[in-house]
Amino acid sequence: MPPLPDLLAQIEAAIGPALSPSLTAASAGSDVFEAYILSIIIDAAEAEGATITFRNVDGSAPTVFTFRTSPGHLWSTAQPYTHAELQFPGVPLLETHMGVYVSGRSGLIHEADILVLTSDEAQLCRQNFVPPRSHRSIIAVECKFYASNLKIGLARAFVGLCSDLSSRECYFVTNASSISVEKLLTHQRRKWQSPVEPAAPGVVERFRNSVQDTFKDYKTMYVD
Amino acid sequence: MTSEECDLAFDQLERAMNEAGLAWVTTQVAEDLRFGKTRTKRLSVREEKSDRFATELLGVSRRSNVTVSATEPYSSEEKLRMLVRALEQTTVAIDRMEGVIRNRINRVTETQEWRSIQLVRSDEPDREAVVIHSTATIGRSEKVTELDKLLKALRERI
Repeated sequence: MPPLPDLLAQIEAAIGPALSPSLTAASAGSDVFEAYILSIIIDAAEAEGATITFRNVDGSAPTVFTFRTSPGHLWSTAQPYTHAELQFPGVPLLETHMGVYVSGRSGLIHEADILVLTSDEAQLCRQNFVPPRSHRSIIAVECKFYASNLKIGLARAFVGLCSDLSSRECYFVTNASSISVEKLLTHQRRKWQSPVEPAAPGVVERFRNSVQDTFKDYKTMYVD
Repeated sequence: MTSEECDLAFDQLERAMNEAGLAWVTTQVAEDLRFGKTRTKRLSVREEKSDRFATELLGVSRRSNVTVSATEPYSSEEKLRMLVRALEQTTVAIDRMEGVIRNRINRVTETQEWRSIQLVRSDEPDREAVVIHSTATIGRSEKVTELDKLLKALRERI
């Protein structure tokens, strides 16, 4: 093992070349994290038997995938935004969107980092330029990418958000850890997963299984 | 590593991260360090005056133990571990996440050519989209693996 000053010098020299060019803003880390969580949700759907297709807002098949990471309207055509279609055999089609507005029980409009909803509802939104209603969504996910510990205020905000959303499941998913956040969410009986990151395969698996379970329940609703 | 060595390593790493454009990471870590770590404490407290009459009547002690939340400063070792984890998350973890996303798209579009994934923010119009190309940037993944090994070596010494 090299002496400490040499080790630190090697780390110093390695940081720049290892860094993703666009990662010099906090939001860039969050963007990649949201897309990563979307991948896990799609994995869960596939494991439960769904056929996956990506579509742009105009219905075309993408060669460049454009995902919205700050909230916008599901029907927006400002960019050729991409979503994933999840088709389980014999049940209505689902769509998965990133960074969209959703309306809650109170009629207030909230932001969902990831939203899985029925395709019928998404069509209604695209035709009428309205945000989807949360009771027509299966999964809403709040994603938090933090380099250090999470602040308790994030958990409080999530508890408030969940009280107005009537999605089948709401998840708080983060790469970071915080005992106080985890205690509050557990006490409030909210679903959370952390730290979700590639170096923690057990946690990733737990999250994937939990999402897969939600898809199983959705399918069961349509069994005669 | 001694506490002094941890403090020196922290300063050097923090400076290097700031120079590499990761000031947002060191700022988040600094905020955490200022707040301190949350601990619960058992305190022996005197009864409120209004309770005195009742407790005297019942003949129980006027002091009782309560559990309260408090904060205490992080040690030098903990500070360095926190910074190393923050650096790992923003370099190694992000690179691995990009790999997972790329593989996911590849599995769905096996028969279809795709060029890139663009992560677009409409609330920061001046910021360029984060782009993940269909193939990993040559050389960067090797550098990430190298950095990962170095950070693990540092962590083992703390």
